[in-house]
Amino acid sequence: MESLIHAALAQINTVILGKKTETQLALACLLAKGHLLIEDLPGMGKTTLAQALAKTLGLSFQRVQFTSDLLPADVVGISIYQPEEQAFKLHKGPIFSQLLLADEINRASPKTQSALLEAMEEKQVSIDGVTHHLPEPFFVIATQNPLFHAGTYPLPESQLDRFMMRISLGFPSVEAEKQILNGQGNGQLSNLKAVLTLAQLLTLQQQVNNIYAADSILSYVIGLCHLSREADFSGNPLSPRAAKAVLQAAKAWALIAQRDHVLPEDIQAVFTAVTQHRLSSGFNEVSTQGQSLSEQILMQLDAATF
Amino acid sequence: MIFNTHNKAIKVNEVKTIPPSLALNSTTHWLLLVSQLINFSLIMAQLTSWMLALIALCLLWQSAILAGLFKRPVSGVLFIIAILGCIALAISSQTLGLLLTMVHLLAFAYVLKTLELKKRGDFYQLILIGLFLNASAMIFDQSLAFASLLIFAILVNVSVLFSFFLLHENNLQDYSFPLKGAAKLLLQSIPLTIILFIVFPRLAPFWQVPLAKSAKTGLSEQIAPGDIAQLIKSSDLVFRVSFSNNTPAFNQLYWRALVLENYDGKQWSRLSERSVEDVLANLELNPINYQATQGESTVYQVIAEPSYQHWLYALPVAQVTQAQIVMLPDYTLLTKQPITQTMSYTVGSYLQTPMDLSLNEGKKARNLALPEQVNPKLRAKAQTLRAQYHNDEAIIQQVLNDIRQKSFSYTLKPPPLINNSLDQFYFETRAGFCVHYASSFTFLMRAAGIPARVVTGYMGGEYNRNGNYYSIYQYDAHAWSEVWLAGKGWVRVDPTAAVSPERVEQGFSSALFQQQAALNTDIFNLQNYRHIAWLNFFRQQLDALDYQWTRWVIGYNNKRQLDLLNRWFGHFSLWKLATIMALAIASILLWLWLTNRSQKIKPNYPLWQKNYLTALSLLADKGVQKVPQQSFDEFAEQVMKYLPKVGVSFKKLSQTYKKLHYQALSAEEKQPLLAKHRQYFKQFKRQIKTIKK
Repeated sequence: MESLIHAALAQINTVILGKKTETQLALACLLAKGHLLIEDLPGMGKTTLAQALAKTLGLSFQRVQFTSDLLPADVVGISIYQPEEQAFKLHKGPIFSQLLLADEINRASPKTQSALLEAMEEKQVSIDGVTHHLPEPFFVIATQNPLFHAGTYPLPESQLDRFMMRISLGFPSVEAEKQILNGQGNGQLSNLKAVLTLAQLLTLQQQVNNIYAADSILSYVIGLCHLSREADFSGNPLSPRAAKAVLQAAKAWALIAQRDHVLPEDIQAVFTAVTQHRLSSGFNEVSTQGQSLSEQILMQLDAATF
Repeated sequence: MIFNTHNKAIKVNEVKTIPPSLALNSTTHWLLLVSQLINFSLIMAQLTSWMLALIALCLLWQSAILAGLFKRPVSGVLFIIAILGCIALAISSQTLGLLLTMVHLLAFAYVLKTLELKKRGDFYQLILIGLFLNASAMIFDQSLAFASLLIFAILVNVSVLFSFFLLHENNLQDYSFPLKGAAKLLLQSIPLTIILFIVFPRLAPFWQVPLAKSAKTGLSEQIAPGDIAQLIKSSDLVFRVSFSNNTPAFNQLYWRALVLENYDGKQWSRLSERSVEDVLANLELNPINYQATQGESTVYQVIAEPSYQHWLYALPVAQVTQAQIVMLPDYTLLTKQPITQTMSYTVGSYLQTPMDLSLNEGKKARNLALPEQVNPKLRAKAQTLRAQYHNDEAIIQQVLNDIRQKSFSYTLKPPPLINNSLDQFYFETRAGFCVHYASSFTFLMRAAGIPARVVTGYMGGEYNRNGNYYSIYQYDAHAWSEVWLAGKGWVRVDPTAAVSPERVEQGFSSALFQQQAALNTDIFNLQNYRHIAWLNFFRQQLDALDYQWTRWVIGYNNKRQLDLLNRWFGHFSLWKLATIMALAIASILLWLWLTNRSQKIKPNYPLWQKNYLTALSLLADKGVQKVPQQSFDEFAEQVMKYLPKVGVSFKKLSQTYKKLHYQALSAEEKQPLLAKHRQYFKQFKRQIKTIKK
């Protein structure tokens, strides 16, 4: 089973070059049943990563390009009157897929954003008073441009909290960039095959739950979260949901590392990705502040003392 | 709360510890100011006026800072003030003496440190200096009343510390809470204090405590008519006496202190102006042959208050066995060190034993010597007496009768005498007190050819029924005569008894007390209110309490300690005691160290975690520290790189620790792993010992 994960990772890495940690984090996020937010400048491969993930995991995939005039109905779907049948027929929106890529989510108006985000948490949508369940599994991979870019609506903290992780790809190394220029990356996207079946994916997600986390690991996570709740801490405090997300992501990370138990380094590996967007708020999001806030916390506690 | 600053590798969850930068809230600040006021008021009597002014200024400054009127001074300003203050101190150290200079320095440091509170350490230092200042105030006053004040001061100081710790727990606004806490703490410390007080060895200090250069009090070595009046104004305690047997009658309580054999026409003084060292050296060269004692001795304990003099008080003929006390040929007692602290000594007095049955020629001449051309009238009177009577005792009787019958009066406010003329007193003013009578009488005796001398000391004392002891105050100062009679030796004659018999029968009469009270300007002195019965009773009770305190607490010296311990535990020597104490202290320190260590590594940690943390701190000592966010494997690699000697064993230790700590293992699985882990830990410890820093 673990070899499947590695095969999947290897395949993604043929498309996204030189970003092993980031792709592993993205996969861990999906294995932990979390939604993923990718924030970066345009042209860094956000969309490519999302597509590669969808294809590799063998999921039905839809993409919505968010713009400022996008309406909620454009995402969730709409009932349209059918003259021939003399009835309204539901036209399901792109949200009815296993993996939704919400591209440039912060370009849409808050109204549209919240329609999507509600679906993310409830795993269901209501159209004309009828509740429709979303397919299983249901992932959202959203990308967003940095906030200082023109025409962006920042996501409120409550909605940021719904994303398990936020990652940035960052600039590639010289070596990787050469390969991209040689056409080794993007071009192969169409060649990607599904590595996992749906059943296998669900089993893996179940296995994440079975990873053992010792009591001292729980104390460590709580200790880290407590630091963010101190009066003199400058960021937002971490919620219990955040603590849960840290643990869940760490378990997925442990699974990828082929272990049946969580180690402090798993926590440390996922901590920044899971908490940075929760700790920082508003407009300093794009600065490295979020990053440094989570690192500040990590630096204050030694896992060996738990 | 434990503060670990040295071990940075293991940064234990610091959520609840106090940050190193100091942020006192206003409650603590004001409490601190109050505690400083109290501390300074206790040491105030020892400080010079310019130092007091400086202290007042600094305290005002501090309160202005607290009230938000000023900012905290920069350290440069403080430095300049400190330098200037030290220079001023150095200049005045000549007059102050070493001890007082040091006390001044302490007080100065204490008040300046207040303006420089930056770190937590500064605050602790300040509290410690304050407590030390309190302790040093005890050098100057050891009475019960002062000790109680000190305990109160310590309570306030501790409560400042208490409020400092509390303010980190919650936002504290209440003043009573730290006070209560500190009181509880002090109460809890009482048993330990008592044990240490009784058992802690009272070794002699390793260095000489500098003597307080304090004004000598009490009797002086010269006396002229009118001199003792100064003493009579004072109601300070001089000494206390408790008799263990044969309590003499009140009119026998002539406490001899000084024998004055020299008369220069104006004043009586001790035989030559020799220093105490000379007297002692002379004694060693010419040991005295004491008269064989007769009759039963009267044994009593004297507790003398500090007088900064060498003279002790005793009834004649006194015998002492204490090493630091010597007996002089004139039957007075002398200590080798001046009395700077309350001093206790036991005396056996043989009241029936005559002093000097034989008198050598030199001594006789000395006690007959009179300067020429002084008091011609008295001299003429003596000569007529000598012509009239051949018997010395008859002459004495005649003079005493004279004093009794003529219109002499006893008063504390005598009219002044020109040139201390005894003639003027004896034939004109005829009003005076003991010194006038003793001087005139002794003069008459010498002029009549009878060896005579003036003795000063104290007469009588106030009996305290509660404590069964006598208190002798300065106003009991007295002067009388001793005449030498063949076959009887020195015989005490108190001419004051002739003019005022009640003075020597009952002590001060109420009329005299009123006179004395009028002279005394201290309105808070309870001595001035003797005529109010309940107040007098209250005063006596307080005095009895102070007596017990002086006797049992202040007077608890190493001899008494050994006596007590011998009685309780059998044979005990000072060194045995010291060894036992040293062992006890060492074991307490060891225990504290061990608990501190185990607190650093939380006691509920499992063994493997304790081992790992110990290994971490050992590695940190060798300079390889784990950064908190470093993973175990990364750190093991780092150790491998920098300390290859322990690299392998540490890596194995780290791996077994990881498995034991984070994996879900059954007990059977854990057992062999733990055994391995222990083995690696032992190996690691052995190896790391071989590495030098």
